[in-house]
Amino acid sequence: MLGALAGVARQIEVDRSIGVRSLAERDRALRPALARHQGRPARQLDAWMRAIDAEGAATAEQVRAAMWTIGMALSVLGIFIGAGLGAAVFHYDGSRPVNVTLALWVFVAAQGALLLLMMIALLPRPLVRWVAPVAALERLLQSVNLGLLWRAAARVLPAGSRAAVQAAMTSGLRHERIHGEVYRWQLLRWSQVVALSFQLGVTGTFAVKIGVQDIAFAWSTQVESLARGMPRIVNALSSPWARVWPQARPSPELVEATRYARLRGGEFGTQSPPDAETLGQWWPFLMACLIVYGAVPRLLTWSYTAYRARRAAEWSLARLPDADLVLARLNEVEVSTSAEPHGVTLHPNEPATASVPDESLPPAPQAFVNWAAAPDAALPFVVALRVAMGGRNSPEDDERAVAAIAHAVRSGAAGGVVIGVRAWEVPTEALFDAVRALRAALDAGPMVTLLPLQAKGEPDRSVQWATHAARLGDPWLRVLHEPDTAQDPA
Amino acid sequence: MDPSERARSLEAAADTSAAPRFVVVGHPNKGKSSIVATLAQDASVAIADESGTTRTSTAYPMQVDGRVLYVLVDTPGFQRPSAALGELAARTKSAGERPGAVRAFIAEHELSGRFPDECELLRPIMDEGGAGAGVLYVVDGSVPYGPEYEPEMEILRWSGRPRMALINLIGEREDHVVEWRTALGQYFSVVRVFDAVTAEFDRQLELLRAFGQLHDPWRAIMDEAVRALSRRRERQLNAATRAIARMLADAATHVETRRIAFDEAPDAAKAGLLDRYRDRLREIEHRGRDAVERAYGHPALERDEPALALIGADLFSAATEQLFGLTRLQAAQIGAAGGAGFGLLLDLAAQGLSLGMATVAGGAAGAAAAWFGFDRLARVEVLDMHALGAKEVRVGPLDNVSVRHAMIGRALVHQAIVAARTHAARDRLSITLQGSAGQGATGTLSVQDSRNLDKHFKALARAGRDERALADAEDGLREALAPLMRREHTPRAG
Repeated sequence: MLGALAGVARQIEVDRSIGVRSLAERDRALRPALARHQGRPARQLDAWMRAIDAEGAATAEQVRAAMWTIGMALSVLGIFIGAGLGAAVFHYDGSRPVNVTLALWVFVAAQGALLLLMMIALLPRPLVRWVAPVAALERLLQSVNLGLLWRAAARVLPAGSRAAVQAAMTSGLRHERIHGEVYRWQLLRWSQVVALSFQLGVTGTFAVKIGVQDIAFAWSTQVESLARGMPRIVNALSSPWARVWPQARPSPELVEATRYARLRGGEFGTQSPPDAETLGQWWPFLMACLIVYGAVPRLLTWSYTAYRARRAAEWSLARLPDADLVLARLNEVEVSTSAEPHGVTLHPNEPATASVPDESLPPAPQAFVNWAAAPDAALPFVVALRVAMGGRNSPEDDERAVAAIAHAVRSGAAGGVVIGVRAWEVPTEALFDAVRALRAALDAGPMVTLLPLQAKGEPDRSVQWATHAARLGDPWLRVLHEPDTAQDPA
Repeated sequence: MDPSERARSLEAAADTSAAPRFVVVGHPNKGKSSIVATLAQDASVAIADESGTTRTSTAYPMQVDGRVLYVLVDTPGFQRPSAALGELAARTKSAGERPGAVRAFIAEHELSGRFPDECELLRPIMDEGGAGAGVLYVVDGSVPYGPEYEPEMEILRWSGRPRMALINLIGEREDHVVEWRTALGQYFSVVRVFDAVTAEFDRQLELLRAFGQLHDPWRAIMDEAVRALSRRRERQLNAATRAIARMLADAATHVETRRIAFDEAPDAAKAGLLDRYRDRLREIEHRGRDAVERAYGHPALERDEPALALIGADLFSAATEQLFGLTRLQAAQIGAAGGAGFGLLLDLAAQGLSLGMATVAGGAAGAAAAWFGFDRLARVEVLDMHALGAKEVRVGPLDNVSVRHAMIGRALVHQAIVAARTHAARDRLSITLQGSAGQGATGTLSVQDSRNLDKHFKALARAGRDERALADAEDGLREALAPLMRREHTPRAG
């Protein structure tokens, strides 16, 4: 699952550079195959990543390989340490027997204490805080410098896996709230890998030793109360297997007979030293202790931490940033209403806005064009000729109007042309077609004035009129403000 | 680009062969693009006060899982309607030949360049592809009707397509709506008023359903589209709820720490750390608002934060406290409820032998803690770290029920504003105060609401660094927020 976590995170990261539409199409095609995982987000995400079979899947594979390598390295380490300690505790050169007491202290009592601490560490965090030694261990774990651990682990990894795990860790540290539990359970799981391997190393070493050597066992202690209690201790320890493996339960006589002292080269407590066969009868008990109090609990804790690590990874996987978007694409109907519009721009190379000059109309009479029923009740100039254009006029009507205006201007009856427009409307090409037609009829010289005529309460778009008029490039065309006489609209 | 080539590319990305087209046409600068932006929920639609912003037709297909249900088409405005109508009239006098005349007009002038805008807007109307086209003619009901619109309406009548008129309200006034209805009713069987910038989501869906009524075969498809859009809206609400819950959870659990020398007095460090803590809470709130805006498809909203009121005011300002915070008494009520709840559990465990004393005591203790702790923003601790020869000053998590209440209220109001904002709106996000003055410290939540939410905040505080517990508490907060998100939230003036 760690590989899936890293792989899905990587795939989501890669997807950020892909367009939303493309992602939707790609994932829509995957929906039928992934539908069976609906309701199990972690599995669905894992299957999604593998179905895409791209960078995410490659990262997942590399991380899995890295985890496997690290796991193997830790196993080897554990076995090595276990074998070494087992070889040391069970060392037998024939000079003196193997001390059963030492073996019980090292491989039962000490392991039991460590196991107890481990069990407490597995408890929910709020409870763990109440147990001082475990709380201290927890703080120690939190202060573990992952960077140092990583540098040590990176030595055993191939380059590709190293990069993948590095990237995964960097991402994980950025989202510590999501991945904090993953780290915790993965570290615990690896600790149990070492512990289980250690136990297997010890047990394996012991098995080899008893297979190739005829070892004499005895027990020894300075503490008299312990010595007196030894038969009860042995009896209690062997209770779990007493019925199925009675030979692994040392009898009180055996216990009595094999007490050993090292003074003067070694003496047994009994009058006559036990024979070799008797001294060898401890091995089933020790083997059973190593298995039942060593290997089996660690197998269980390893299984549990592996399960919790998997669950933590699944939980984190479902909560990766943008994982909800992936799940939405896989499980929900996608609704899209937007488009990729063609680039639209205003006219290029033209002034963004033009201003309306602060000039007044000339005193000479003007030919007046009422464009599209502009409000012309009170005009601020003398009208030599009044015509209507635009609006409901046909093109032929407008042509006649242009001809009339041109005649009035050429004959001197009108000094110029004023086109009254609705100030609240925007200019259209139809008006500027009329202006061009007028200019063609008038030739250069006579001024044509666009006069946005306002109505009470309506907006004034004079600036837009000026901006559009400037585009015509006619030096005898201007836009002026109407003097302050707002009118009712026509 | 060649016009027919452009038409092909417009629809190349999606198969629109079975989808009706709704072509939005009209005089320049009457809000056609705004209507498209609102209905397509696309803030990238070019809108400007300048006329002539739209120069080419653009298609906005509405797709459900890649299947196009309908297409909205934004078009440039009529520029030479009288001249175009004159040319059309010269081609035929028979009503039966009018659509053909329009097609011939397009074919002739597509290359002549005389009527580029008319060709651009008529082409998607007259195109035979898909399930046909409907015409949406947009006018501005806030300005007077004028005769220049009649050639436009006549041309659209010549198209022979189902038609609807939309009276937009650019100037927000409705003075001229009646005269517009009178004029439009003579050319269009359906006339509706629709303010593209302020139309609520339900109004938008209503309009889409109305599109379906233009032509019977479109009814089912538009109903399906409306259902899909409603579901998407629901998902947006859920995403916004998650974003707010995450924001509140982050704020509730945030802790600032600083190490100081063992012999250093912690007061200066505490003051600096409190300032930093407040800054971080502001940042958390800011990020939460960004996430809510993204959830509703407004990824780059500019917020009018310094200028105006309410949710733009600082989180810790007097204005916020007055409008969204709690009074000391209200905070004590919430504290009392929480304490009494705990006491009640003890009384139940004692099977009534305690005669309700635990409930009373718990309520009193809770009220007292809230009363006397009212001014405290967050937990402040100084931890001795002997082993390192240092001390750690820690501020957080948030311990002030009034600030929590304020954050929730501000988030709910912000969400409501964003949810109501259309994609045609181009102004900065701001808010106006409504309601009557003199209502004291208030907000949009009742004390009961605050009490319900408070227990989830307590769960967040208890969770500490336990990610599972944090996630569970955040989920609980989200579920508690969900019904509040659906209420109307209008801030009341203090």
